[in-house]
Amino acid sequence: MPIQNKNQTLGQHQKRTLLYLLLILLLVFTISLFVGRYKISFVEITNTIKNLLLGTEEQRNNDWLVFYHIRLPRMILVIFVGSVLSITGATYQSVFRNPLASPSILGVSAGSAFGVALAILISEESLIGTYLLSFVLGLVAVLFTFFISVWSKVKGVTVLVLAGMAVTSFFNACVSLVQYLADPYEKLPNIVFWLMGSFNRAGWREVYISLFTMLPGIIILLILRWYLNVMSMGEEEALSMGINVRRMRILLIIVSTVMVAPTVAVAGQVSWIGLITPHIARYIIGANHRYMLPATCLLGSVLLLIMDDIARTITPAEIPISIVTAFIGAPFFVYLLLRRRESGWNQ
Amino acid sequence: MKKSASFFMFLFLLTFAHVIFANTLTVTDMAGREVTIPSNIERIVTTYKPATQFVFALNAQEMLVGVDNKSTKEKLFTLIYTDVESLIEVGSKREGVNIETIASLNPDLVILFPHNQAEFTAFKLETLGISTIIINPESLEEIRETNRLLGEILGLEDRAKNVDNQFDDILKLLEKAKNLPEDQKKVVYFANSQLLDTVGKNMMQTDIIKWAGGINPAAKSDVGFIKISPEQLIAWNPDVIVTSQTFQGDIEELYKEVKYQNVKAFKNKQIYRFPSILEPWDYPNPSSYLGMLWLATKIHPELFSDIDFDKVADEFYYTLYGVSYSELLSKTGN
Repeated sequence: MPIQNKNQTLGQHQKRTLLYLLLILLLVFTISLFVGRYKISFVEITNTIKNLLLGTEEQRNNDWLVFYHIRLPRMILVIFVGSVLSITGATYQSVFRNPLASPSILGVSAGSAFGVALAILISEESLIGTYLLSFVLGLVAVLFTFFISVWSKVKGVTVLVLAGMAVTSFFNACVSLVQYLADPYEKLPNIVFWLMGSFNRAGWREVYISLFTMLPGIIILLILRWYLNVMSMGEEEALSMGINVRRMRILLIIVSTVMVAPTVAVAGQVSWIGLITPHIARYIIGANHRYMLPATCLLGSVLLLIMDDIARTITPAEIPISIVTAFIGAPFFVYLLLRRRESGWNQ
Repeated sequence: MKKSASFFMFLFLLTFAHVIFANTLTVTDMAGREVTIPSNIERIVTTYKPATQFVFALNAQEMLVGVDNKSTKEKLFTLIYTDVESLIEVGSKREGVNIETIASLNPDLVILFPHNQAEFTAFKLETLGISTIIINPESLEEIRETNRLLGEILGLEDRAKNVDNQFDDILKLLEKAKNLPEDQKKVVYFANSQLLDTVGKNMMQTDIIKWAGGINPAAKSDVGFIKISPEQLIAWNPDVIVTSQTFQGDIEELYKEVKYQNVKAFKNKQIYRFPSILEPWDYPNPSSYLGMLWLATKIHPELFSDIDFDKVADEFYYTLYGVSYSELLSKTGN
């Protein structure tokens, strides 16, 4: 009985932590809505919303336009992308049993990035074309990775990671080729900026895209999070528990990949978040995926919201988000390594 | 050691050049190098588009034997001088130039772009006995300087003077816009290929806006090409938006953007695309002077109601290229 009691309090503690994270997310989200180059008055917004609800609002003032058409969709998109990158990072880390795994590991980011670059090069300004090409090429890259590992004589997860490296490097070369061919004044700056990631283009259309591509993936992974605990224990243990590891692994990878491709399409390559957030989540809530996966989601959103606030606020020019995530993410990661020797991986 | 070696090499070349060409000319190019050039130049190679534009403005296009990869396709060039399409392509600003190709053309003069490798490339060409100058037309003043320098080198001082007079005439016309009191100047936002791509301080476009009687809001803090957020554009609230010739979008579509509906330029339908389809007037080239006047007539129409812009453009093109602007335009089918 005492053991069960201990488990219960442990669970309660983690549930409380999740609740705190949710409250922090709501707080950061609300603050972010009022941070930016254009000063929005809180009173103005609440008045406008009140008038809209009463149906008396006719003229739309600038505060409302910035709030509703720029800030709100952007913050929602940041939450989506932050969640997706973090939750897929955690999933990949468990599935591959590799703490260095991140959403880009199977070549999906490189493939999607090539799609974006290609679309900017060949099309005038078709957003739909950009999204489609990015999504399709992200999937093509992952298929390459799969077939290489299937056809290889080597068995195991490692070959998938190695194939992913090869495919990533191939698609990075494709991106370089596109950059070389692009016009240095018209197209190249856009390709470079997009590749470094930015929520600059965020609007409601991007939010809708995320609703249909990212949200279902997040929900599926959260439902399957039970299996991740088993997967991270190792293949034999999982088999002994009656779980078809191969099938489950493929399912988890497909779901994760399908989620990552649209993030590159809407926001470019956002580095580091997918790698560090799962580690921070493991640090504060433990390695049990039951709590760790939702915590990663919330934490990823909070971190990316803060980083995007920095990227769009400190100078009149927008700073690509990957510069901010790397500047803050990398040192923070090192701090975690130095500060705490035993991470979730040693437990 | 290395320095003195190159110095002796230079002296050697200097003497060598004197033996071959009875008449030579020594000038200082825009990278600050002293260059000795044969005074009778017949074969020119240019390595980037603005260089070719300056050669055309001096009516020296028939001296060209090789050009950069872009110049063979530029509409203005092909309309004035069809032979440009069959000239040898020697490279580009970004990919670098092929020195062997240039050497095979046996040019009297190579006009190089300002680039961190330019002096090194120039040195290599000079060791092959090919005279090389580096030009740097990155501001309105440097455009005039480039024109004068090339006029001197090619022995076309009178042509260069005529071109310079055109620049002067336009600056005189623009004085009333440039000297407007600050509160009467318009806030003019410049968009590159995308609406949210703009240019900051020390950029030629900022100078163009200033001479046209405007203020570039992006010039306050940043240097170079910058990307801004939509809310920054709303916060700046520009009176006029002018896009580059290469803007990849449709201005009519742009007006429909809900989030910008309170921005003055959107509300008053004051978004314009820089001319022209012949050559961009918003780039560092001789026609940027015309671009300035065009912009001034758009943002301060009341100041320039007495000016017939088409007539000025016709005269400008006629002086520079020997064909009037409207005639060239009609050749493109527009």
